[in-house]
Amino acid sequence: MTAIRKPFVLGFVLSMLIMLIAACSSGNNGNSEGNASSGEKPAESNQASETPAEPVEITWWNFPNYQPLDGEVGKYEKEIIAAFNQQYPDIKVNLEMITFDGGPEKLNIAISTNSAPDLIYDAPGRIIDWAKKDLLAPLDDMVTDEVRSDISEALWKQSMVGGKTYMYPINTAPFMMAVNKTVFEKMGKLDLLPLDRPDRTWTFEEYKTALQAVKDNAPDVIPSGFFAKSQAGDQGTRGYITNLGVSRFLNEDYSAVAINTDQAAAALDWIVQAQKDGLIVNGSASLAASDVNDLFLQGKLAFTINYSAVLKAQNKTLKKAEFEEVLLPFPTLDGSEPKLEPYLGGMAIFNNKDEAKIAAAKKLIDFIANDPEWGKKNLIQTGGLSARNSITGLYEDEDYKYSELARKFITDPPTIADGYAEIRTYWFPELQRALLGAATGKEALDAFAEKANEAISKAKAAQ
Amino acid sequence: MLSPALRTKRYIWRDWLMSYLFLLPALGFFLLFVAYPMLKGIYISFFNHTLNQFEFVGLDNYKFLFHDETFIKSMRNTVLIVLIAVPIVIAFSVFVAMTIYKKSEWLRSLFRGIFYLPAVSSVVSITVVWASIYDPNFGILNYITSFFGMDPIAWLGDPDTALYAIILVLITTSVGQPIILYVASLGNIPASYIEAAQIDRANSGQIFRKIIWPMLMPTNLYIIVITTINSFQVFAIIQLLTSGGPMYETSTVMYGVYEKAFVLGNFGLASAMGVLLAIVIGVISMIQFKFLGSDVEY
Amino acid sequence: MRLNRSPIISNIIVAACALLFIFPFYWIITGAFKVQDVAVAIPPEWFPLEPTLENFETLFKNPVWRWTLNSFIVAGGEMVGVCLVASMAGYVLAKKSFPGRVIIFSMFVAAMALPKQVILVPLFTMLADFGWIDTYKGLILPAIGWPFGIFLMKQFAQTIPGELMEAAKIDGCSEIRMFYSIILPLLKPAMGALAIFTFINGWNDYFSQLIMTRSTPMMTLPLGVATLKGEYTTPYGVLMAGAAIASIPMITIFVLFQKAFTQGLTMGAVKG
Repeated sequence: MTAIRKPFVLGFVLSMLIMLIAACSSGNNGNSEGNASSGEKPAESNQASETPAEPVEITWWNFPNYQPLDGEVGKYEKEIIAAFNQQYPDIKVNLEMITFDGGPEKLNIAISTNSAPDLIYDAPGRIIDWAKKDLLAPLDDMVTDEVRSDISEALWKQSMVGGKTYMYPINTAPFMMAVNKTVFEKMGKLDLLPLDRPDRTWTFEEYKTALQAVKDNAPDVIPSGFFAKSQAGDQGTRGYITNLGVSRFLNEDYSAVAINTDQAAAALDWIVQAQKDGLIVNGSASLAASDVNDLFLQGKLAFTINYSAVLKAQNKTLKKAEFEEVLLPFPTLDGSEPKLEPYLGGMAIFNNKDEAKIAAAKKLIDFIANDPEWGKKNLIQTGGLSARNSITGLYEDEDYKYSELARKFITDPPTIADGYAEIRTYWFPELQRALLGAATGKEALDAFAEKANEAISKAKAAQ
Repeated sequence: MLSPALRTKRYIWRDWLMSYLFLLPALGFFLLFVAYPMLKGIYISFFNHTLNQFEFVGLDNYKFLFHDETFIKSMRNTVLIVLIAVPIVIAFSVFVAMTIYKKSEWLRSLFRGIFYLPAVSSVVSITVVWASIYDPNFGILNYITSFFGMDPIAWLGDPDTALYAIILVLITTSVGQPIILYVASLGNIPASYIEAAQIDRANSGQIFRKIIWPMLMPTNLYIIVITTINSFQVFAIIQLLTSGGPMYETSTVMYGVYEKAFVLGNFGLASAMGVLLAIVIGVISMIQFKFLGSDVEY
Repeated sequence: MRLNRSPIISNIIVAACALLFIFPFYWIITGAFKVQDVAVAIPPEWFPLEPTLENFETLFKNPVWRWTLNSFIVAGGEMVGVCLVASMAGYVLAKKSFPGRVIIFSMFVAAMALPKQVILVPLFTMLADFGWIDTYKGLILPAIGWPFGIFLMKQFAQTIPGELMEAAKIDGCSEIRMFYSIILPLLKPAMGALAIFTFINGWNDYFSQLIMTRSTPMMTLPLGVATLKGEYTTPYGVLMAGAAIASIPMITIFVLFQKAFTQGLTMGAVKG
């Protein structure tokens, strides 16, 4: 036995040593301790008393909704929190910046393992999905009557599920197209753009003429963009086809796909042909929304189809080519009023089963949206318009004034439909099929309708 | 005094115990951080596990996959990538190694380093560069082919070229290690073997087939197994270059696992896909071990 | 004679391919010094005519040093852990016979085929229960169990002549001392290779690090650089600057230790 003991002890010590070395290397990570206890075990801190003076710690995950201050990601958010803490010194806010790139994946994992953040600033696409899955805390008690009546019905519709408010709407801007005005100026063809009309509406035919003019007179510039690589930015391709083909994407009550009309199919067929004719960017099946906007920002593209006042503001630092960009609505087949999906940003609270945290998170939302000093400042930092109708004139810019005017074109987007998360996974592959000649426009849209309808009924059945 | 037999027995016992102790840390880490999550992954594959659901569904996830066109296409692409990439990696690496192994130490190091560069550069930056090379409108590749009168091609957007464009990037990131290994093994072949063959007037093709190739066999097995596993698991290149498109032509099982789990939040289905992929890799690795002779002694 | 010098045509092809392999890297480095529209111009600007430090300035407004330090801690921690654990295990798997050896080794080999994404969710749940998310141990320890290192070390260890060990044993050498003073020195070149291997993998393991970190100060360099990307736009210049900085440590390590790396790899995988 004694012969065994020595190597045993030595082996044990050795393996402990390795554990120790590994564990030691995690010594100097100061700020994670708080997160670990606040994020992972929400249930245990339940007994935190109801008195508001008790210190509370909440976690806020933020996408880059605010333009980085001095190029530093998260710096602006820290200033908000510092100002917030002057009013509420007992609420500690842990800020964590996530990216559009991997952030959604990270959120999915955190939610499924009960370690979701307390607060998120996002858009209805994901927030409504979470609300339907009963993961969020309702915010109705913090929406004052004043705010309730100051925000349009279309925006509330996107913030609510089953009569309860789950997203506090903050900033908005209609999604539309943008044109490189300088290209048309140089060609001496500014009259081809509807810029002299106050609401800038125009027809499919006028748009085609403009594209042809670019092709004929500016050989270095691609007339228009299109993309179908992934689901990112699909509101652009949706808005483009629904307006060119004057059709709704889903029907009025979101129970079925409505885009598979002959007119919309003709619009899609035209896109495919226009790509062959050099009117639309080549290889769009493999381009992402960001690739197309990058081309636009480099001055290589006359029209981009996924733009907004928010994006225009955010792209200021990225735009190195010298040109003037102007927002335009999507053209329509018959010259009727365009229907624009809104970008809508707002905040939501994950129901981590801790009343104190939910209450604290509500205070932060209220501060960000409604503080007399910071409310407007925050809006301007997003580059967006206020979700509230009464707050206007934030910017001294022609295009912002136009964006405010274009709010009358806002339509209800499909983002709140049951099964939306799945619906959109069928959209871009069908666009790819059409673009690559594997299906006609009608076949592609019909195939999309079939799969998406199935997803809708499945999602409805699961509720 | 113990009898020699008893002493041997006791010695063996000590030896065994010693061995287990040496294995303990590795086994501990492995069981905790690999084996346990793996078993749990298999367990999850029998559940409808989404963001807010966890419900036993038996084999439903597997049944769904066997009828899912996208999954079948992804499986086909995965196998295709392996079948194309692995032989090319081997052939290219042997070719480069044959060309450089007799060069001066300095040149050999230089070339080994160059071919290893893509493997050490971050995959994110590699794909940014390749995306700009393949760009249908402003890419360098189309710029070059235009001198030969070719029309611009959407290399990553055309179903006929997309998968091959991906495979090319995969190959550039995979040949570094094989070249290092082949250069080393070639250096170990005694010069006398080759000289003897030359005296017998064997031509270079014969020398390669009869002498050099057999000497490379042990290296081959290792390289084939490693390259196969890497090719099966190619993920970042696809996610960043094509997101599986166009029309799922570049979607692989690995990409599907990612999409189902982390984009759509369907962890049960993703786990089932992962299990099926692991089975396929396992079977193919076993076949390789069997047919290429077992240098890995168990 | 023909085999002593490779034909000219092969030389040319290999040299051309080498250029092709350098190109992406060259493009990253030069792209980091170009302004946005030049970085993607056609015909390409082969060399930055008006080099700018703008991209680096933007990049360094963020805690790049902290991110770099994190990358070093994570990759370095994995490196040390894997080398220690794998050399012990590899040695006994190669040189000892004991019940269960074949099963254990087969288990490691089989697990090499496992796609990492499959275990990520269960692993995350477990680490969350431990409270290890967003900590160094959560980033480092799971990678130590990855079986490739064990496989590699076992292959290396097989080349150690058994007589050496026999001789040591006859001299009354204890197991621990034998491992420490005889086996480990012999495994050194192999460990060098494995070290570089794990370091590179740890440095580039973007996806696991994305999932396992939360706060900005805990991000690794590739993750931090990715936060600079927009939803609908890509700042190429800044990405390239980040990529260049992220690649330099690894290239340096590879160049410095190429000899050890090559030797080590060769010992295990190439026999005879």
